[in-house]
Amino acid sequence: MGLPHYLRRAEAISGTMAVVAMVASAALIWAIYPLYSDYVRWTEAAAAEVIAASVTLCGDTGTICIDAGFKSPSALFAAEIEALEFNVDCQGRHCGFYRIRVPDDSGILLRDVDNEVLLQLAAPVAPENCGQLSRNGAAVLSGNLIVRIFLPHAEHVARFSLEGELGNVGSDVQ
Amino acid sequence: MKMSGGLNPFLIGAIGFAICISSTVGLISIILREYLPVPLWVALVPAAVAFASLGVASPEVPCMVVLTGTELAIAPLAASLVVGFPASRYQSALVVESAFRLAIAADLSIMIPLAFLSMTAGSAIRGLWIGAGPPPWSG
Repeated sequence: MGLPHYLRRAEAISGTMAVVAMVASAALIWAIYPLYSDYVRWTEAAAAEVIAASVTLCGDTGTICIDAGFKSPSALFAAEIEALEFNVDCQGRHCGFYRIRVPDDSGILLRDVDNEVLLQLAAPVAPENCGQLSRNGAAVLSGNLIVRIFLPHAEHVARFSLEGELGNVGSDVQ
Repeated sequence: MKMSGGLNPFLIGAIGFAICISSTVGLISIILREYLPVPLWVALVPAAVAFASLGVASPEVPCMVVLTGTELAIAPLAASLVVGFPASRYQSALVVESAFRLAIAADLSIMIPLAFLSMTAGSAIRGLWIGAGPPPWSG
């Protein structure tokens, strides 16, 4: 004795619905997972470095100039370098916190290509730190390059640490 | 066989598998909602369809409870493991832990109500459209 025809119909429809659910789930995971794993891979592979950094002092004013590099592999999303934030330490003494906003057109990271960006940034030194910087020779800067990542439904901020010596601590005192 | 209410046990197995997969994917979508190219409610449709298919099949109550309970137990764990998989060895444990908490919360607050609503809708489809009458457990 088989099942009544209406029960067989219910079985067929529920079986079809289960298959549809599985196929839809596979399509959904296919849409999410590559972007997510690409994001994880990208944030682990991308790196920032200080290529050169120097400070020029002139009385109680001065300028810190930094050449920073950022390398990142190709990604499925767009990103933009937003700013460079760093602290300056002179022989254990804190000589200021700086945040340099990257100009809009120079920090854009294109999707689907390897990006290698060289940033030339400058920031004025606060007058209260000029004395410290001129008295103490070696200074070290350490901070983060802030990258804004554009995802389908959100913007993430990723921070890539960088560190370097602040060379040529000289005075152009006239 | 008795628990399946005379239904094909392979069908019950397939529905259970579909529920497990679609619930896991639904939880992954909730955890990774920022990476989702479609609105979040779309990501819950496969799970709703899978639970509705259980309502349409309408096996005996113990069978439905076992299938739903298995989903409750497996899906958050599977979802958090899948989310933690691409992370590096050092970060993986942290990612899995935070994903698991979120998955449990989503399971309790979204998936269980969704399961009950969808199974009820499935039973209604069975009774009204397919003409198979009310589910055997409805009295």
